[in-house]
Amino acid sequence: MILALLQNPLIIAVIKMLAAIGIVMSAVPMLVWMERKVSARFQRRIGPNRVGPLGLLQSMADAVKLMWKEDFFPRNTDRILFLAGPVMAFLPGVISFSLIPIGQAPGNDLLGPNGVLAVSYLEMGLLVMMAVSSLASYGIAFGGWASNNQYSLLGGIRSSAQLISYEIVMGMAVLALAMKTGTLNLATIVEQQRGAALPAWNIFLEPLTFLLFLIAAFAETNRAPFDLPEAEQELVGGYHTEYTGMRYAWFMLGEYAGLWTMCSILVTLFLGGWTLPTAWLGWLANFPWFVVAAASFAIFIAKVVALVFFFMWVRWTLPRFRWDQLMKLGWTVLIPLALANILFTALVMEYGGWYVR
Amino acid sequence: MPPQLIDILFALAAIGLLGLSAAVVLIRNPVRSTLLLILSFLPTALLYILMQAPFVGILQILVYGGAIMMLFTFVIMMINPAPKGGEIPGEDAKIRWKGLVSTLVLLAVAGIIVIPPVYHAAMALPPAAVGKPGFGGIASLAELIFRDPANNPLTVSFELISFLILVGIIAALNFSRRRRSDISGDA
Repeated sequence: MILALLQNPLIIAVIKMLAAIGIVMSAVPMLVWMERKVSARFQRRIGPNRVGPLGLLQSMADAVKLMWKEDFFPRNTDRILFLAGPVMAFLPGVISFSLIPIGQAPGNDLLGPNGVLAVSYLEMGLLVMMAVSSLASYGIAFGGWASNNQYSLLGGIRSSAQLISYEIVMGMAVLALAMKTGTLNLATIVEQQRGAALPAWNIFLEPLTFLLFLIAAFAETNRAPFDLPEAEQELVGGYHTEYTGMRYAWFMLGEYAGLWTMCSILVTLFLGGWTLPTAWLGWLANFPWFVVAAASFAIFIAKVVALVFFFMWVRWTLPRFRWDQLMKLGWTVLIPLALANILFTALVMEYGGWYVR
Repeated sequence: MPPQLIDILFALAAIGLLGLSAAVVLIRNPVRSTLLLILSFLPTALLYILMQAPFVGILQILVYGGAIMMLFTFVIMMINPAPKGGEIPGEDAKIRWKGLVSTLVLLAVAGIIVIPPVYHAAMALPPAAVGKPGFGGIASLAELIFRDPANNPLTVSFELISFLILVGIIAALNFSRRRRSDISGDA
């Protein structure tokens, strides 16, 4: 009975969607805990260690506390947009995570084409993901505006200006990558990076593209050193100054869901996704499909968590950019560099030929 | 997908698009209009995808929804920061019926000029071309535009359009640049 139900593609699609939401929603509290632990270590503190083992349940305690906070509305505000802002900030992170292939169950075509574990297997997956993740800043912009507070408004405006500037850099970086891979299918991009040794990964073949994408990713997730929309020293709390309780928590959830998804994108595009070099893990292919699937999923998660740690490392090490420095970096350094990168990639593909398929 | 489902989705997207578009122009609050315009791009993209043009549909969200409307939002928020009281004043009744008449005339003219050629072109298309896998995707579009570039009129027009955009950027830079006479005072 249950096995017959599991043969139905619709049921499988629903299960996969729930799994994607579950992964993001269980990753977010862990990331909040990790951020607090990492920041504590960087500042020679211990960090949360009272609630649960190693303070692991600290995020749950925070959520319970936030639920009991006063439900505050500022005066003369646009109530609908004020309510919609936090939700709009949260949704794109979850939606774009559903496009990312998180593992492979070889020979099991029921779960996806070629056994690729992803909610949607799209030929233009990379473009769809860029489209969805570019909508993430609207929540911050509209929420900041609807708060009827100068600091919130400045935070929202900064967020939208930052997104416009760095979305171009990210798009141009993706363009150079797409020229090299010849496809926009995320699962195919991962498969291309499965080689005998490490240099098969795109980070080694396209180091400049990786650097440009990484910097744009810092800016698009609004994380330090580009966290100007919520710069505490200048803007009180930035876009979420007027938000309390669970609505503030939605913004936090959105920020960490965005961080998680952005790191997943980076891992998929540049760090080989769910694969490891075959020289290290070739023996794994002899095991049954669910062992291989679990192992590939574990590899993917391990890579994403390592990259998240790198993002936190940068946040707690580097000082924040000034606003004019941010704009100058984006428009006068990164965009010309991205254009040069496209030209360079085209030249290498035409005349170099040393990494062309 | 079964054809009935496509029809139902098409109808839902069309109704949603019409409703959202009407709301964009009827609502007095410019920031809410902006949000509704962004939302109206989602059914638009769905319409493109249902008409087997997924690439155009995704670009609709990526370019217009993600980039251009973000610019609009930025500018409107810079101009009109107050959530209440920043509404566009209503026009008087005299202008209203003139607007109605001119809109209807415009719709009629556009219907006569636009719909028949599109209908004939769609009818003239061989059914096999639409059914092919990958139709409307990036590869088929690239094939259409860049195959045999020396004799392909689409290649020339594509490159000319990019040249036109470059000219537009340079013109905008030139207009927004401060003249020497403007800055002589504080030099």
